[in-house]
Amino acid sequence: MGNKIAKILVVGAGISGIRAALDFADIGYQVCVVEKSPAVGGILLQLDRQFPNNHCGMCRMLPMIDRDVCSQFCLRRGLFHDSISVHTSTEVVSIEGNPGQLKVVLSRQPRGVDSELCNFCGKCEEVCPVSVPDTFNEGLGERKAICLPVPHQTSGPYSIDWASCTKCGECEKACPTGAVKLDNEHETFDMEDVAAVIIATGTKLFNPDSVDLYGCGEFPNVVTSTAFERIISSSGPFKGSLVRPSDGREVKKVAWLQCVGSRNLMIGADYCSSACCMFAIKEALLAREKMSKDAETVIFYMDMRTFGRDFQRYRDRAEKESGVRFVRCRVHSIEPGENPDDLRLKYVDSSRKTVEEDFDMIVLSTGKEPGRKLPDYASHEGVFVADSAKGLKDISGSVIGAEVAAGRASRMLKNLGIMPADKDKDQKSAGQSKAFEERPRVQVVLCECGVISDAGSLLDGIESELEKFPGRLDIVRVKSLCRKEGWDKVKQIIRDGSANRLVFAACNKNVLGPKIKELEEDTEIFDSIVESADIYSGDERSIDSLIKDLDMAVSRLRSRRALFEHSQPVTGSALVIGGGPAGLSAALALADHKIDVFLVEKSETLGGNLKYIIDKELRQSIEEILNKVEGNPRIKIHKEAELITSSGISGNFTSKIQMKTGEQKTILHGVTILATGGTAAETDSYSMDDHERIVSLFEMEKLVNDASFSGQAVKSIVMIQCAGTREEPRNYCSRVCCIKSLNNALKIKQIHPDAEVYIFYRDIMTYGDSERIYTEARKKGIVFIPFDIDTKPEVLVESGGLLVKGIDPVLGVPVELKPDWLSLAVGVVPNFIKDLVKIFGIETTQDGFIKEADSKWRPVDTGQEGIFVCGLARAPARADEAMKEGEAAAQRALRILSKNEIIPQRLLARVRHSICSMCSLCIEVCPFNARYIDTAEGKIMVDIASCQGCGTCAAICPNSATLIVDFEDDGIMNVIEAAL
Amino acid sequence: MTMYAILETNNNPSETIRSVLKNMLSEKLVDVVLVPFKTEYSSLPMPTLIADPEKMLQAQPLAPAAPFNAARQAASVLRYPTGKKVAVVLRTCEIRALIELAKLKQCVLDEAILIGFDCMGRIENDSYLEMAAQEEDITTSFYADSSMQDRITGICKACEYFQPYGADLTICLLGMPVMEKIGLMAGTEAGENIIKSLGLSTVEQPEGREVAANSLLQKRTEARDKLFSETSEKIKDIEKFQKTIANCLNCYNCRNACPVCYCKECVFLTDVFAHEPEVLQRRAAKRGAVKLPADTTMFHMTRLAHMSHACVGCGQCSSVCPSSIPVADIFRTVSAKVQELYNYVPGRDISESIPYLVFEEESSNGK
Amino acid sequence: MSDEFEPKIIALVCNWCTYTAADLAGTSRLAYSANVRIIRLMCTGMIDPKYILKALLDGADGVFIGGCHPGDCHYINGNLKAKKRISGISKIVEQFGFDPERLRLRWIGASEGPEFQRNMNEFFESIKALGSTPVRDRMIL
Repeated sequence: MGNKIAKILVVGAGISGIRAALDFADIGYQVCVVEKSPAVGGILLQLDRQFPNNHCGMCRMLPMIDRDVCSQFCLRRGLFHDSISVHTSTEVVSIEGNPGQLKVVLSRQPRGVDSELCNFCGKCEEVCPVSVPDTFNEGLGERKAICLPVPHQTSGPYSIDWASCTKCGECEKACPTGAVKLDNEHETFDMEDVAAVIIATGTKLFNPDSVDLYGCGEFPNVVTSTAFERIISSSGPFKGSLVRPSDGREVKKVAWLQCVGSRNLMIGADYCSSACCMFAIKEALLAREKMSKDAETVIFYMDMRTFGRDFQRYRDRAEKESGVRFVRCRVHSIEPGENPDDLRLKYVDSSRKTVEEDFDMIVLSTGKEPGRKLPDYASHEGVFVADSAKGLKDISGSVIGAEVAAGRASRMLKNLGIMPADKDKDQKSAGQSKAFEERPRVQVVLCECGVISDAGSLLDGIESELEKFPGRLDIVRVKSLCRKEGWDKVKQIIRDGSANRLVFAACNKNVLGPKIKELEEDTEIFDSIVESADIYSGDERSIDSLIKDLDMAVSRLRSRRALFEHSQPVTGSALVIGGGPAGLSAALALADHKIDVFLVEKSETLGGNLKYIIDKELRQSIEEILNKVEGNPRIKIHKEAELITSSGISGNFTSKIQMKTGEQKTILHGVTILATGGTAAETDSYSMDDHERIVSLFEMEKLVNDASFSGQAVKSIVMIQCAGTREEPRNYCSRVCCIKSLNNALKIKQIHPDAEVYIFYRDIMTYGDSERIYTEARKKGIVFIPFDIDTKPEVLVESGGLLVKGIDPVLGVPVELKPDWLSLAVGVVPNFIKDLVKIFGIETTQDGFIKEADSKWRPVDTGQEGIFVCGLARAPARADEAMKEGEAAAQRALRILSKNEIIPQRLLARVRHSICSMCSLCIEVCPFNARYIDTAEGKIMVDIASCQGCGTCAAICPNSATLIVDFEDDGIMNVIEAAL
Repeated sequence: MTMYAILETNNNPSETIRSVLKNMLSEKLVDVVLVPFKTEYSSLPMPTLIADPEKMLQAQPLAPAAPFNAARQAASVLRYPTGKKVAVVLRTCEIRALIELAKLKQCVLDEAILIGFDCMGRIENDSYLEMAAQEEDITTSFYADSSMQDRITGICKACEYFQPYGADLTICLLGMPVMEKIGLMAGTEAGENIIKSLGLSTVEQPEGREVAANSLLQKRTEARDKLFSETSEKIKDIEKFQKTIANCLNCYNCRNACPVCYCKECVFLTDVFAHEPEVLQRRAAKRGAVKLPADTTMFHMTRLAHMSHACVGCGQCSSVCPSSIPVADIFRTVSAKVQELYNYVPGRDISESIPYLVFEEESSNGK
Repeated sequence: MSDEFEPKIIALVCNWCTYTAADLAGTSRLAYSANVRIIRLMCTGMIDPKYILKALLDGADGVFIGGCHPGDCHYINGNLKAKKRISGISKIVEQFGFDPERLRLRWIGASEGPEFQRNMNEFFESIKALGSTPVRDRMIL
């Protein structure tokens, strides 16, 4: 491991840990990530595809601006970043000291294999006599005691599972490079001067083996949802075919049982794990892709908690288009079926009949493990805990939670006067290297290997072929490139020679990768002018075939050329549009980082929906931020003002706002945060307008919290959830209604204990810890009556009174209620922002919410770099969630605002203006809106902050007027030629 | 209802159109007119930008010749809005190319008045010059004597797009006794305004037009299909194709003549194909021998990749080929399949997106 | 080496998914033909039609294009753009006697090492059945 001074310590290398680490690295800090397991990636390593779009896209978490410091590589295969050092198999023992100067004691378990020497040849695994159930595949299939802990990761070397290792020494003998060391003494070490610590240890999933009624561990075909992921994974134990573990038979019928380990008071799990419902639907959809048409997928649930913005439509599609069956019933036990490999479920269906049904496989939707507490050091000052370490979060929740924790830590550091290293200064752009000033001179380094005995004759053959190449090639042989001696020799050769391009003919390139980075520090060589060909791994190959690989490498290098883009200055201020909870918290988070903020609010007051919020604690927290914002000299507040124009690119926007008086003001800013909010929806369902005692749940909240309510005679109150929502055209859950209705109901019960409260609901969406409110409501005797979209209750206004007709869920008979009040959960809608959408060129969903760049991985970015979104403008959210999103948006914005200028990266599109015909096809195809016409110059320009170098512009440009550095047309075609 | 006016021709249809164009200028309905024009030095009609109504005398709006596809010249006049109205008199293939160029942001058609005519085809430049040496007014004889119309280029004979698309005004010759009268038809509001402002009396569209169009279409389609099948035969395998283009000199005339090859500089002239000596030598070493200039086949096929969706079949590429390679036949044949794949007709409609800019969002499972 | 026809295959793969899958196939020792030459690009959306023409005219028996599953593209939808462009180029080359089967576009995700191997083997077999490219041993002008 490197000797870098770790300024920030991130504990846990799952989604949250990676996000927090990248956030800090992005704003210039050195980060050290410690991870208990031997691999980076967390639970995502086991999941190929995730909801709500059944894709992965984890790579979208990678830096988008300073990309050169981070490898452009699938994140499920490892995290490589110049400012991030990763310690796997390492745990925190203790944390002491003051924030800014923490001392952390860490304990590391040796991997048993030296990462510098291991070349992934796999000989150790072949000879290892110990086979144990494959933990990565959740116990399905077997692996050796020495193995790659995550088969698809080659970021770390092979690793020994000490629990099963017998130390027989076979692997040590077999290892050709002497990388295996059978020493498992734990090593404790200190890390001093840690500025802050982020706890992102994630959540452990419930182990259902303890619930004997489900027979997990006993029936092989009862599996957890994670095991199911491994079964359908192409890298899993069954290579992606959906078969059952007991007999390998194709699965024709599979059921998911929800809330295993969650929402279960018996095991102290009075919470909802929040992610399992969507997880199950996703698994059912993935299963359906693998199964035959007549196969069946059934989800048994209590409430289908589709509380995310687009989740309800996802569920509806699963049900209607993909034929996933949903059964509302908590199944209590699993029994073997007729055939002992089959599994039998007994349940009550919607017509209240008891049904017995056999399945091939049953998946237990396991949630968060109950009773798990954060370690004591988590509450140490200077330690920040990401949300996902507190409870199970879906991906966007984990990402936002990590951004919030990172943001709070960096605010503290700013306050303490601790600054990241000045990044702009020492970041040199690789494109300006001397290597490109001269004609390419290629040095070929042939590794003589220290292991393979007949390498010499192979190299003779290669060398004589290489000599036939036209042009000058310097060829040299070096012994054992994988060892320090070999590598030192390489450095010597580079320093002494005149070559400006380097080709290695050695073994696995994963072995060379980190070493090439090292070259950058010691020589003029950097990774863009280095290529390697693997001549040793795999089956024996013909000289001709090896020569082709080398020819390709040489061709690739000869065509590499310099980068000509210039850096882009950054205006270090922010524009926040909307002064509600989300906007306020974003503005304050930025101001706390000493950034000037322009806060523009349409109405005459700040606070947004604060005026409707009754909950005392929540009010206080918003008011506190509001006061801080109003008293902050860095925040310029413009009330009764509206944005009228905005132009520019990330880091450099010019906007104009107009006050109510007609006065206009021009604002220069580096980023824009949209926090335009939302409001209570209107509905005409359930005769909303026909009676004064039919009110929205927001009005109901006001009513029950009013002092006069106790004086009212209240005998019965009915609440109907999802009024006009969760069906087209407003087919989404508003997230706030269930909790609010339940709180209202409890308040009514508190004031009028004898009053009857009925809640008609479709699915109660008390996700996370708010489940407790639901539990309490049931305890307090509030009556819950479920209904479906086809069996909605009926509301009639009769002789001045209200009549609500529904169906009793237990008896199935009609019930008629005559409530004093009827409260309708109308939900929320985003504020109307068509004008802003047009000004910023961003997209909205069909419901008018602003679309994120990626709903999982980049939840507060918009498709336009430099423009961010948070709060109700993005999706339904509680005020506390909206405020967190505001902080997350501010944290994302800091990536840009913390820089004086945006440095061009190696991988960028470039326009050769002299031959550009300005046809603008490139502008139209660019997925990042990274291109624009500079009207003054009459040129097509590339916004280097937005351009990711994907090359779709270059592909559509007919005359290569636009090209991607390192992937120029001539280079690629020369490589193709060399390959044939 | 389409606005339609009848114009008397008195055995000189060219003169009739000239006077219409002249009136458009003198009535200030347009500021300039781009129209084929016979210069003092040659009989070939050259696209010429006319501002002075008196200069219209030498215009040859209906000349059955086109030394090149004038879409590029029209585009250069219309590169960006200038606040002036520009009328352009173009053949159908030229209008279609112009519309493609507009999609490629090479010009803006907002201020343009597109005037097209029922195209009876063009005669190759050398034949035209030969004929011009013998005859004063080829245009009139071309329309008076239908046997002369058999002398048009092979690619014109196979062109089914003889009626203008999207023109503001169409000079209607189909089904008309051209020596007596022709039609002027408005296709847009701008066109109608011009007919009104010129004070032309309007009538219902004569019935003969459609019948004549259909019969010509049938003839042209037959010729086209014959061309396709004969050309397919010439390129159907790489051996045959190599023979067909064997005499290509890499002069790039075809690309220069192509109205939809809009690049400022062709990629084949850039560093992308300026191979280093090492590359050429390595190529020779690997294959034993390499013909230079290299990449002849690559050139033609790349050009197809770039513009086959937009090929309007004007035939200029064949006309300019010094080695008599049937470039146009090949491009039309290959392009037809590409255009069919994308259900795309170049120049049909300016609002129709270029195929490569639209792509279906697939469902998650890729099925 | 035997005289049996061994197809020469160019695989143009995207950095994020298919290249990763290829790498995984390699480290997992999932064998496929040594005559497959993998060329890593950042995205299939980067594939200029020229690359395909170049490969075919230089004597590739098959050109395999591998990208992320729709929706997984690191660059949002480069793979779908590629699909559209490739359909056009396929239509062109087929008219010059290149069997469209010589061009194959597939989506292979980063963790689908076995899928990569399977696809390579299938493509290899199908090209083998098609026989050598028509440009083999010909001087292409």
